[in-house]
Amino acid sequence: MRTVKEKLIEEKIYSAIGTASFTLEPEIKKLLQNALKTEKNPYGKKVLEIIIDNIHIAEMKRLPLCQDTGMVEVFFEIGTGAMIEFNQFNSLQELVDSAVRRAYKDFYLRKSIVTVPDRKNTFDNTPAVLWCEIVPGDRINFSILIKGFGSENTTTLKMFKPTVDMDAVKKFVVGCVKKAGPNPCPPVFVGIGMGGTADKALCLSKKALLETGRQQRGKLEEIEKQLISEINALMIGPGGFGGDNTCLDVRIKNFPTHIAGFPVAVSISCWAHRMHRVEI
Amino acid sequence: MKKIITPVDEKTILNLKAGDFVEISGIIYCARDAAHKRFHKILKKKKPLPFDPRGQIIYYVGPTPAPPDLPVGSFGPTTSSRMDRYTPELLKAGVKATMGKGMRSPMVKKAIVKYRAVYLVTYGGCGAYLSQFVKNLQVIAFDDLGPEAVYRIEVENFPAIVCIDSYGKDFYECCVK
Repeated sequence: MRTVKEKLIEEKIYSAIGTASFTLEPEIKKLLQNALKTEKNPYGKKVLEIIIDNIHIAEMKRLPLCQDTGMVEVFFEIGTGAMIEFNQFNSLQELVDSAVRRAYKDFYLRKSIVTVPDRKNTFDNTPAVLWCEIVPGDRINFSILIKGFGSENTTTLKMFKPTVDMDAVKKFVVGCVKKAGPNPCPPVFVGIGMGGTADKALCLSKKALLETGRQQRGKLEEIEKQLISEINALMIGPGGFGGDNTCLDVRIKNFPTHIAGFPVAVSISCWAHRMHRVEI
Repeated sequence: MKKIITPVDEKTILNLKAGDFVEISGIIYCARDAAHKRFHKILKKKKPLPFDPRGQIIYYVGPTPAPPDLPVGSFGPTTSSRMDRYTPELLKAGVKATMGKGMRSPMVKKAIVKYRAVYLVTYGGCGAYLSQFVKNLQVIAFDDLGPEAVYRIEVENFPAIVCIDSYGKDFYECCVK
């Protein structure tokens, strides 16, 4: 059994929040730079130029890329051969929230989390949203997603009939991006969750978002590529001002479902797709 | 490139057309969801708003805190449609422009034409870039709301695009086929 100290995980989450708030992953930056090269619409081009400029300024000044420094989501994959040595913290939630609290204070990030239904700001951006999977191996890996709510508010779930054909599902996905229009800050990234239960589909759609920009694609590559071109044909464009680049990537994650249904969830991320993966 | 100096006069508003690039200089008031809910209650009671709305611009933003070496933090727009239900009464009270990102409702468009105002959009997600045009910031109301408090900011050549002009033309509608 491999033992990992709680403090090490807390420190890694703390610095991952900083990294994701001030910089984008190289693959995401590359997609944006390529978009600038291919964009023909003058407004779309101008928006992409400012986006690239914004990325440089955020890195240089260590200013958040976007003022919506989001709600933190952490997706853990804990190996069956790994053990977290807890001491100070009573739960994984407590550990993560400690990192969030310190990061949002030290890095001057916006505290955007309120209690419900009374909507009182917690003033430290806690709590974070956690997802945890126990997987083979002795590693503790996690991905953090800093999710802004301009894009989160456009999330859609549809419980299709089991007899639906794929064309109708594709039409639904394209329709979700069309309806969102300029609101989620295009060019966007689209994560699709197919199958499972309603909650499983939504969770898969977020995990699919974490795979956008990566070189390797899964078995549904063909549908993903068709969706990219169909979404770009909407010509919503960067910032919603028209243009060739509405969507930079689409990823699908699937899971078997019940004979009576077909849940499909669509999660959208803005161009400032802030995620970071850590392997311990 | 057209220049806007605040407070904005009617001549400036009538000269703005959907799709124009503009640069704003002067004072801007910042407010978002929770502050708008309070504005609504204030207006309903016929009490004065925390600032004189006549000729002013309201920017939908909740900035990040300023780091020690900079005057302000990240300063980009939030989604405007969440403020739709509160916008007509603010335009009626004299606000001449609202600024954010994304679409507005038909009701807001109607009010923009009726009260001779404009809706501006600025660059979504580009808070670090936009912070360069904000010189200083002051909290003027609802401190308890934290990032949702009402701020008075001074801007110089703050960039935006006219999205809905005072004639009711919506740039998003004409550019997206």
